[in-house]
Amino acid sequence: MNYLLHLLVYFDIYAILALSLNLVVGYCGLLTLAHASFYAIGGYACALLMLTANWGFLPAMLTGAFLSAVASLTISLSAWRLRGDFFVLASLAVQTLIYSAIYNWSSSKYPIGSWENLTNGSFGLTGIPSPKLFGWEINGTFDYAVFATGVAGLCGFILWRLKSSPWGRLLLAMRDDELAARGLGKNTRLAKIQAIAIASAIAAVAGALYATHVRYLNPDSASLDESILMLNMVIVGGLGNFRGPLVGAAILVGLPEILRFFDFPDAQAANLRLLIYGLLLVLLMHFRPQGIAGNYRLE
Amino acid sequence: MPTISVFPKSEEAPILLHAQGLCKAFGGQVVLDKIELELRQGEVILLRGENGSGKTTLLNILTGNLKPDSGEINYFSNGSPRSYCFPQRWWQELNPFDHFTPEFVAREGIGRTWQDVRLFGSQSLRDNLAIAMSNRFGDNPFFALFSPHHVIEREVEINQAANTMLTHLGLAGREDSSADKISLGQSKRVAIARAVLSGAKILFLDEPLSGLDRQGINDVLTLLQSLVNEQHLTLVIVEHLFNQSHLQGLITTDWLLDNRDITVSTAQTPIHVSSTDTARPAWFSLLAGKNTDFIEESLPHGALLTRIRQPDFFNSPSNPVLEIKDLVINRGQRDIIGLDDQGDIRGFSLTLYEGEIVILQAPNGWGKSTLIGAISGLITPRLGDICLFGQSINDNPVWERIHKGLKVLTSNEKLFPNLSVKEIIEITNNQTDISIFFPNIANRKCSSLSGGEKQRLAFLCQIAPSLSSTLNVLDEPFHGLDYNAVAEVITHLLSGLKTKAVFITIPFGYKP
Repeated sequence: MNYLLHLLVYFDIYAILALSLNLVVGYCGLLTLAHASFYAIGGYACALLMLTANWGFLPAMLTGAFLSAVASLTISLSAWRLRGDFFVLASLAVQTLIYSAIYNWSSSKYPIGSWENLTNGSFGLTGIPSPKLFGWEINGTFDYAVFATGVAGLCGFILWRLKSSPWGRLLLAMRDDELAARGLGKNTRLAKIQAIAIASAIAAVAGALYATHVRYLNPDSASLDESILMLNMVIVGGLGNFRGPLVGAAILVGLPEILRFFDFPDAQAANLRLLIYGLLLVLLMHFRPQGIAGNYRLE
Repeated sequence: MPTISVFPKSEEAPILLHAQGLCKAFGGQVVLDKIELELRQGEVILLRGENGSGKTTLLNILTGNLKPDSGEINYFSNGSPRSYCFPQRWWQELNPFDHFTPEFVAREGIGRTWQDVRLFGSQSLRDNLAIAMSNRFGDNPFFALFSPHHVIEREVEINQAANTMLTHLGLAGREDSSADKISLGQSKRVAIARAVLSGAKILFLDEPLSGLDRQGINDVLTLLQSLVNEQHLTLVIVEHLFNQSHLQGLITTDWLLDNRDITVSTAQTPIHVSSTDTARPAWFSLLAGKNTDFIEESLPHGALLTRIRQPDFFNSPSNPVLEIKDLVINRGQRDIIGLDDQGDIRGFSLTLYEGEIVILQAPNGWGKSTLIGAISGLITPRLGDICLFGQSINDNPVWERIHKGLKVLTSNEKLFPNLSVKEIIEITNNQTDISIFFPNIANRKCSSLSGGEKQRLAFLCQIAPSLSSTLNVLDEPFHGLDYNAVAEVITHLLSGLKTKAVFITIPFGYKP
């Protein structure tokens, strides 16, 4: 039972990430590889504030979301002028920059969380406290699964309401034909900044959930592999609607778990998983470019 | 044809736009030179000029899509005047609230439509119109999230306005249809309505009648008439020569772009386009020579097919070189080629016989390049069959079609920008002495050539003599060439010993 609840928590976290990434990729048509960076910023900010400043989960998480939204300006400002491949490259540069900062911002002489040793480098942060919310200490797996599902539901509701609003319609128009939208007086630059900031802030919430669930955080959470996994979820599940990213998150969270039942040695299982990811992507691009449940084809 | 009556233009009508000293050059080639113009409320302007005279450039500048090199533009259409001077200072570039961009110019009451329509294809017709109207709360994600009541209130009004407009356009009941599933005529009317709903006081229309059948033209004209008469909008219409006659009576002022300058006159002289002028330009005789038969055939949507045959054509048996049977080609959800004048699917059929030169003259937007794309294998037709020298080539990729004797000159300049002229000639296995065609530029990089030089080079590559029989298909081959250059390339084309047939597409009324 605990195993399934753990799986549910992971699904919740990746569902939040895939839904938020879909706002940028599926609704704005901007393919980004930097989403894991903002996820990690949220996780690290929340963990550090709880560890070193004894902040509660909620203010720490919200601060992480705010910092992540501010950091997202690094890619949204480049989206003003860059499109297509050039925007992907700019997002890759931001991803590498933030990953390197997290990986290298350490010094064994100084305490964790100090300016000189902010992230503790490759050793990561350990002993992150469990979240406490309005007197409810979320300690057990069941409690955490309920909590994570609630947070995922709230994030999903926020994104659904935004997607259904005139602002969501503006994003779709911008994706279909940015010049035509600008010709109607729509400030597409501002819309891009807003969409990327909101997606990054929501990814940071997922980061805070992950940090407080696993209670350990290292730079791997900001790695390019992690970004690609998130992107896979959106592309495999389907772009441009609400159900696609949920389907993608369910498949890519469930797939490695299914492989566990085949008794492959660990070393082979990891490679096999990557092989299946790659194969899945190639097959989908050929036979169903809009993803399993999507309705927008990324050009 | 709808009856057209025009909102009376008064000299006292307020000026909505004034521009002076506008200059624009591309790579040293001056397109606009110190242009001065003004627009008054209620005017309907026809902006005309030859291909390449700068019509679209001027339209792009006045709508904020392109910055002029120098000059000044003043907009008075939105209550408070706004002025833009060029070249802009560096600090003006940094000011996020005063950019000369399409969105800021649109807020001054300037709307535009595009020749290729540009509706938001994935959205419904209602949403295409609704997005044009401002929802102060709904366009902001914060209010969309935390103040849904205000958003919904305004959204109801917007949707009602969009539905009313769709009813006015004759599209009642189609509110939820996807924008890419309506006809071209309907799309053009929705695009005009969308620009109007965005608050435009001046509407720039780029070829609003191109590609439309008779009914579509009438519907768009009726809409334009109601915009002028009922809403007193100011229109600037760029329209192809072929369709200008439809606008007679609506136009109050004529802007003629010629030789980098603009001539403004009242539209007293009717704009008359003789069908014979456009149907058979004088340069056809270069292709035809003496004692040649012309056979003309009208095609749907205002296109004309001219076959040039030698006098003894019917005396000897002639084999079909290219056979196009019942072809239907779609672009997105919309069929482009294969429709009749009523918009019903009939399929496009055409046969080229050995020894023929066939010229397809059609307005912009007709689908000439789409047809060439299907013949060359770059575009897959939805229905129909294409045969080359009696064999179906439907399943053949581009390179196999080339090996079978097809030679295609596309209208896009798809040359290799970093190779020299000499190298490009060499990789096409062309044995032509390039010193005849390009005496001084053999070692220059392709990217440094002028438009005309590039076109001549592309032409030379495509019509290179080959050992096998060929069908030469040329999409707007004389673009950017003067009369002498056209004569030169035609002479070369006709000297291709193994050429079996030639298929040329040109815009209607093309004159080198």
